[in-house]
Amino acid sequence: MEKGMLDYNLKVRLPIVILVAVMSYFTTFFYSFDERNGIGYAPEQPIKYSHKLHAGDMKIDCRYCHVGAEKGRHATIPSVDTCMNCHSVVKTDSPEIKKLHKYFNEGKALPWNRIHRSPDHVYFNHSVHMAKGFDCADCHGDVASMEVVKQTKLITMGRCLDCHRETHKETINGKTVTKQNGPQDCVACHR
Amino acid sequence: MSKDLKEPNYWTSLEDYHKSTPASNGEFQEFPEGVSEALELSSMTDVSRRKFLALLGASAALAGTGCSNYVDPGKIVAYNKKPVSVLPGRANYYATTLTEGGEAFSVLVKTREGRPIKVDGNPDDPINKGKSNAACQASLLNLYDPERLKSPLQLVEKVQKEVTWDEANKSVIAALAKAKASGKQIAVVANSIKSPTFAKLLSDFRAKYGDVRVYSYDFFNDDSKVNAWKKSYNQSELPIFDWSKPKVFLSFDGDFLGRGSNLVQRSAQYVQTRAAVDKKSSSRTYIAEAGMSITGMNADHRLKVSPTHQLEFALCIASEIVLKKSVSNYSKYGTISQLLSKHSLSAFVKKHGLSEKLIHNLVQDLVDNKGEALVYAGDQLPQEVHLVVNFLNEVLEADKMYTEDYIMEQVPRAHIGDLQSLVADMNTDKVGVVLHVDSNPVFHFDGALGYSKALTKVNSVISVVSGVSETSAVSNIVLPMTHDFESWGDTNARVGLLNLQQPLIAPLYDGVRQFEDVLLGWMNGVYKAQAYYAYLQNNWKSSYFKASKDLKTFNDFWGKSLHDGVVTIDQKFKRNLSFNASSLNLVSNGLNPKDGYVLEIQENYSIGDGRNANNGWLQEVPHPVTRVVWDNYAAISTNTAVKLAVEPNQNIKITVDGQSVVVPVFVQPGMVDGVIEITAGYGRKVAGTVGTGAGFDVHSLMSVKSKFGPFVHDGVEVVKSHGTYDVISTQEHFSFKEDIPEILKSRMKDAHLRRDIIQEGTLDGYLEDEKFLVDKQANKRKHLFSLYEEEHKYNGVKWGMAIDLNKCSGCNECVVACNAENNIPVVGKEQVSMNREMHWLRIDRYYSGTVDEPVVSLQPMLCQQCDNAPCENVCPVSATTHTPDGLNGMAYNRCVGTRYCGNNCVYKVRRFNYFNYRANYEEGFYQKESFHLAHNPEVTVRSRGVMEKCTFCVQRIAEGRAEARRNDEVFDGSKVTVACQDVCNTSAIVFGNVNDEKSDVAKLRAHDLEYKVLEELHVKPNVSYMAKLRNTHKEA
Repeated sequence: MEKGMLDYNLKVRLPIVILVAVMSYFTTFFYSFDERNGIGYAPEQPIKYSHKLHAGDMKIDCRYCHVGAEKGRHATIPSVDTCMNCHSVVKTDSPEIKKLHKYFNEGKALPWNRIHRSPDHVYFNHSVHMAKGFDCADCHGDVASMEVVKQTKLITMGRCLDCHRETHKETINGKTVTKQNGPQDCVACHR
Repeated sequence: MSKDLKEPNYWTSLEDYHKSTPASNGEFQEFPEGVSEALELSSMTDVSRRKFLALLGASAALAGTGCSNYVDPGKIVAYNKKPVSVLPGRANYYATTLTEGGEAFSVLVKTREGRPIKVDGNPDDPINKGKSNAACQASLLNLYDPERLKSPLQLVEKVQKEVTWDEANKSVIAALAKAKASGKQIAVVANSIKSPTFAKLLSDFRAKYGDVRVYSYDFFNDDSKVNAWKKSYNQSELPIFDWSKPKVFLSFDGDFLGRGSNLVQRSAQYVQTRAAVDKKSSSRTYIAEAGMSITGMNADHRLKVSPTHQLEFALCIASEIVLKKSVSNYSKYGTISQLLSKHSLSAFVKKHGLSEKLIHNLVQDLVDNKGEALVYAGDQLPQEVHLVVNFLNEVLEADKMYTEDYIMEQVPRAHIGDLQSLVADMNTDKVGVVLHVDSNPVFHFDGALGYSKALTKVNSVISVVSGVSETSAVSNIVLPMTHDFESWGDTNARVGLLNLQQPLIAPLYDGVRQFEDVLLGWMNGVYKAQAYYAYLQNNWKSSYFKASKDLKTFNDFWGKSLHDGVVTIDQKFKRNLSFNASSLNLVSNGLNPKDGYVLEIQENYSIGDGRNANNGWLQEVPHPVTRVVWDNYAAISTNTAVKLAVEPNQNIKITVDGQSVVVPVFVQPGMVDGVIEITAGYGRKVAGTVGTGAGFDVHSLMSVKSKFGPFVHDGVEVVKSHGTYDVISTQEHFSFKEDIPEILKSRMKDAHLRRDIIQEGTLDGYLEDEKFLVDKQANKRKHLFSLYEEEHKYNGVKWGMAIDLNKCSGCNECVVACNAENNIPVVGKEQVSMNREMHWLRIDRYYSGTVDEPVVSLQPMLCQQCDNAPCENVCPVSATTHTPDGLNGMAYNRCVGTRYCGNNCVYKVRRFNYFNYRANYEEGFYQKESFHLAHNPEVTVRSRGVMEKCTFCVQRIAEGRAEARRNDEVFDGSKVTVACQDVCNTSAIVFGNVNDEKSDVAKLRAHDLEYKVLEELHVKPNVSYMAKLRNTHKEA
């Protein structure tokens, strides 16, 4: 049988096209992995709030502002009146604080840009992880040293499971047992 | 009645019973028509499969390049000034009061970020003890109804136009002043008023505007019962009965488990008398009724008596007990013995074809249990029946079981006669202003009293409503009012008990105002928001506050009242239980029914007097007996259907006193021949998207001329009418049918009969052999073996549920609670007709016995969380997987909608989203913005193409686990409850950790009466059922 154009296409062109496509897909996938998952995302915020100053230099506890972290699912972003606890007297003439005062006086909510986000179908619970003795920096990075907050750690299912799959030792009734760090069933986070 | 209850022939519907119905299309299929038929190549387009795939691939690639942007994390908008108690992600609970259908419920409302998302009973309430009902559960949809009126309307040149509140108030004040100046009556038409402070406000209103008369009516009421009580005991207050005490119940057409006020408390008390896992004696319930009611389904013995013969029946029973059995001294009373001697039970039994043996047993039971027998009659029956019932209770010394608790009315309730005189006053131009406060008399009384015609004679008709209604449509001024959850208030619905009502959310719309504030504005000339709050506080300060050791100041008292929601006060009635024997003379003439059909109009089980018509949850919850959704219908017996030559769904024309209505037929097993039963409250014409046009308005048939009262009519003309109307019942959904391929026939025939899905016995049989079920079940397990060398072990917590069929009355309240907790969509009547209702929990109803004398078995059916779940094995994407605590989990985001799991489910409890139902129903009605607020944020809102099912309220389990973790406690699951369990009035549903030996559920699982459905399949379900024990008479 005579070899036709179709055979050439099927035997030579198609594999090359597929190879190129697959290689470029994986290259892109690999190189854009971090960016796709938000690593390095540091948007400009409506007020140039510095975590380095407050949490780093002033050593204010994270939970002073993020009050929900120990109590519920969400760590919560502080309401404007929390800032005003100090800033009604502290540095009132700074232009950034003036912005804050404007929000407060007008009764408007402050639209912070969100940085760490898990998808809607993840029912993550901050309080459980805090109760387990986690440090905020374990997932959020060293925010206390950041002038502008950016995401430095992955928030992906893989990273959750990396930790959940590991074990730790726990003493219950005088006996030391090895326990899984966290549940691995789907319903633990998705429902 | 089938004698041997261990082997009854169960059937679910009449088609099933006769087994002769021609096969309809696709009968064997589990999925409805058009879903899984073989492909018809000829009917397909000429695009080949390959071409289609190529196009699909190309368009996907194109779409892929277009969507290259990464996910934007969005914004986090925090509060400006955070309310102290609110923490995003944590729920707050507030006690308040909900007035629903003439009853006040003390409720505990769960709010998230300031919006109410779940309503349950207040556990501190001494009456309902933390239980509530379906209407309370569904009140959220009324709060978030996008069709609530948002601005006042005023009639300008025959069209209602939006006006400002100032304009509306000005017109109202002018109208009131004019009425006062001309000495005309100002009529306030409201539903029964339970609030003492509102009653006070109305009397202040009267002081300001002269002839103000308040007509507070309940459409479904116990007027005839109260009137009879007044005559029997010279007291208009009716003490509440303690339903936990009797050993024998006899009900004359009284559905005490399904209708009437105080239902929550009554059901809870009634089940205490029934045999249960820890109680080896039981009350016996007899009911004489025409239609099939919830009580009829649950009774031990059911007698078929037409409502027009109830009086005669009651008199015959009284005659038998007093004269033949000489139970009391009343046989010596000349007039009474004379009256009773005219009635003979044996003649009655013969005439109406009742079982002589059964009647004999009934009388003997009543006599033997003197002092512990209760006779009851339905609210819809005429006063005469209640007079005889009072007499019977007197004779049987039931008065010992009356409590000192009373239902309170703050304003004397208006009877039908009062409304008749109001209509007469309107017609003779004596009424200047009619003010409808959240009431809908045009819908209720237009046919019977000519209400709307009379309204045209009145200068100013003002309606205060939450959404448009028949009454608001004929009003000059319509004012929007707040929901109970947006208002201040109080109720004193029971003697000695106050409930405080607090707003849980600011009024959703700017144009909505609390009516009491508006009324104060009319009295003071200026409207002030929150004026009623101050008025309420002042009233409580002067009327109820007494300084005590714990509560020194009024603020302390107020704070505690707000927190608890209930306050006990020193309030008592002087009870009079001396029977006035001469009252019985009022029945001496009897009530002789005319020839012809009998029409009985009953309260419906879901939407109240029509006020909840615009509530999709309540419209879609199936009727407890017939499982019909979205409609009312004329229930008739098979014989009546034959006589009228009608098939189900055929329209018939019913004529009472010159008024006629065309209604479709539903053939109901166990109906009395010649009786037509219709539920009222349906057929709203002006109600909003959901309610308008659902069902049939039969109120015009409720002629006031009937000697049996407005709910029962004799001499009714019934003829076959033109056309048919589809009445949709969910009972046959998901069931195996008869017409199946020959090869499967032997295996599938009568599957539910042979498979012991329902197991029950008699109390006597159980006492003889307590293990009758144990051996049977063990026998089934004998041949089972596992494919695995070692069965999976559940260490720690493992969840299970136990449902006591002795307690379940089939009321459906759990279904609505599940809807509210789990964001279950409303699909609409059309989708239900295609088997697509989304309820995760259904109550299966099986008949056994014959069509004329059916015995009913009920069974709540929900996901059984099988250990060897057949659904899990077939999921190609592992969207449904098992959890370490024994749940059959669903990860909705993973589901691709193959429906394999639903196909493989033994219990048919999985539901598939054929559409995004919120968007699909009535052009996205339930997708409107306000309904977003009603969703439980802890539960995924499922979209199209996703399979869903019950997961034992896994969100509550997760919260319980987190709470234990936060408090550094060991999580044993003892604090977790599920939504259906919380609402169940009879506590039939028990949920918990089966690995904890002390838990209730573990004890029930070990009980002799425990069985699991389809255990022989080795799917190892985790929902246990407690076999029902009927306390039928030995000689029945």
